[in-house]
Amino acid sequence: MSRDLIEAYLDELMQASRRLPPREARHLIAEAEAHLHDATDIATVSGIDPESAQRDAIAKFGSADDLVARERSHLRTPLRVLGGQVIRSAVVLGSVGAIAVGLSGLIAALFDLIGGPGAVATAPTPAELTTSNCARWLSHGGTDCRAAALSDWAFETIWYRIAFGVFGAAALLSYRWLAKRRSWRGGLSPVVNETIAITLFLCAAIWTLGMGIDATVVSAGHGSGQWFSATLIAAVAASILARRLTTRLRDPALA
Amino acid sequence: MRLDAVKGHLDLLLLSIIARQPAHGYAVIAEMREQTDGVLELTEGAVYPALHRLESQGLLDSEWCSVAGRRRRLYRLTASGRHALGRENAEWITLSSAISTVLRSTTRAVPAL
Repeated sequence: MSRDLIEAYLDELMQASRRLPPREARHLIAEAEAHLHDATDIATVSGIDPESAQRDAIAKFGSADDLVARERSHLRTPLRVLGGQVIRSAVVLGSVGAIAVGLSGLIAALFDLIGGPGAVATAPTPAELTTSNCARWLSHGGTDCRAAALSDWAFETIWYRIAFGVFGAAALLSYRWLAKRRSWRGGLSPVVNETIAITLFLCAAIWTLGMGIDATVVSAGHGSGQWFSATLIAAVAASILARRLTTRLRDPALA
Repeated sequence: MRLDAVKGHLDLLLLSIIARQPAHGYAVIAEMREQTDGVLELTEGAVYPALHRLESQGLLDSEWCSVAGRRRRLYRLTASGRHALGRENAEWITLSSAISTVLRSTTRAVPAL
């Protein structure tokens, strides 16, 4: 009987402590347990009956919810720290996005190899086939202005994307190097990062799929490769991240 | 005198007690009660979160050890904690002497007090 009230209080504290990080929760419960037993033992020795001694000791701790709320108040992330986390996450997510764009450039290059520049670039309109434009496009060689324009645009589509991907990889590597060197803390939690990334990749996949279908229907497939290459990469990236997020959410130790 | 009276000075009191020797939560509360003859009665529900906050601010350090057969978390002052204690102590002395001066002059002006 003499330990019942303390045990019940510790059970309440354990339940309330689920809102604390595991280590803080364990330490708080262990400290509370030792303290309650100390207080009860001393009060009992001085002649107070065990149940009253326990009740007094527990009353001084206050309700488990209030105690945990006080603990949580100093665990809140300061705005300055949160700002740093958001910036670090934005750098990583932006870099990953740029790498994905670069990979879509490689897929577009494959479409170009299989279907020619017309599979990647949209055909120029008659208004765009001006003398000066044709002179610029034909300066790289060839005699057909329309074919030269397609070739130029396909080249730009592919290599600008690849260059952007290289920039993203360089940014990510630089960030990792700097973070290690300067012992920067991480960004937002992986769950938040992955949720944001999945949402963005899914939106990109749906939008580029729509644009690709539009190019297929309206322009008889001309230029659809530039959209579908992005759809493919965005969909694959979203699937990989969704799998990772699912694994993380199903395993509390990883979440 | 309950916690409300020491509100704003709890950190100073905790740092001051732990500065003398490393102590666990129960000992800090008991020491405070004993030193002030029960005038300052700290509640456990306020002391433990405050100790944890001071630790997260780097003013205290803690380690688990066994005392009288029970596992206890022993808190000790860090170098930053010692610095903060000196600063807060000086602020308190300035504030309390200013208040005392005002109260003394009031007592002289209104002898019935």
